Amino acid sequence: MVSVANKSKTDLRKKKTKAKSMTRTEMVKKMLADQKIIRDAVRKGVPLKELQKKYGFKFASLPSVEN
Amino acid sequence: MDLNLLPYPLLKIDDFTYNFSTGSGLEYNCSFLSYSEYFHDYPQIADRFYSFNLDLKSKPKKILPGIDSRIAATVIFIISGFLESKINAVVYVCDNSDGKEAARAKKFISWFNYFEYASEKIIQISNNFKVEDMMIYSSLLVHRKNKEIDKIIQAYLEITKAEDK
Repeated sequence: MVSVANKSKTDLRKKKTKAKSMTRTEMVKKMLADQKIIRDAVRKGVPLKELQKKYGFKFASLPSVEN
Repeated sequence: MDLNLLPYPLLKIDDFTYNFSTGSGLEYNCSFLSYSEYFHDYPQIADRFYSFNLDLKSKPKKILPGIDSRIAATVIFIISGFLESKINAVVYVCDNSDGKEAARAKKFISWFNYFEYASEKIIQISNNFKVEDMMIYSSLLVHRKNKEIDKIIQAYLEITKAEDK
């Protein structure tokens, strides 16, 4: 379990390192790819919290709503 | 208020997601994803940037006729609320997976121009740029009273300018 956790931390670090050296083309492709991941997750009913764990996505915490 | 301009009732279904259902039965989820990773060159404001995601929970079985202005009203309500803190900014990059990105961009821009209360508070800057063979349609939305507005606009324009050859 510890090694799995360490592996995910390593993956996240890799993502961050990669992002630093992104070209604009890579940036746009990643933006669109991330959109697709979120869209597919919504269709499948996967909570965004799972995407945070799996892909290192960081979503804004939203306030409660008053309709 | 005209009923067609009333936002649909929102549900907060988890910490990161709002959900609403339209009169014709379509169901949408909305969320904001951090874009800080794209603004490394602007460390003071990088964590202010978020993308806005509006996703249908299921594909409609048939194309519905007419325009549902309440979807626009709901989106404006959500984004205006998010920017009300005067801290964050929203970058909207149009999905191009179905070839309808130009129409999507046009619609999104018109929504903000149409709703006076939103355009009074929020500045919208659109910048379309080409990456390889793709035309990318994007917009920045930021509250007029955001204290970092100049830096935010400058950073957005910098990352969305055409790539140097």
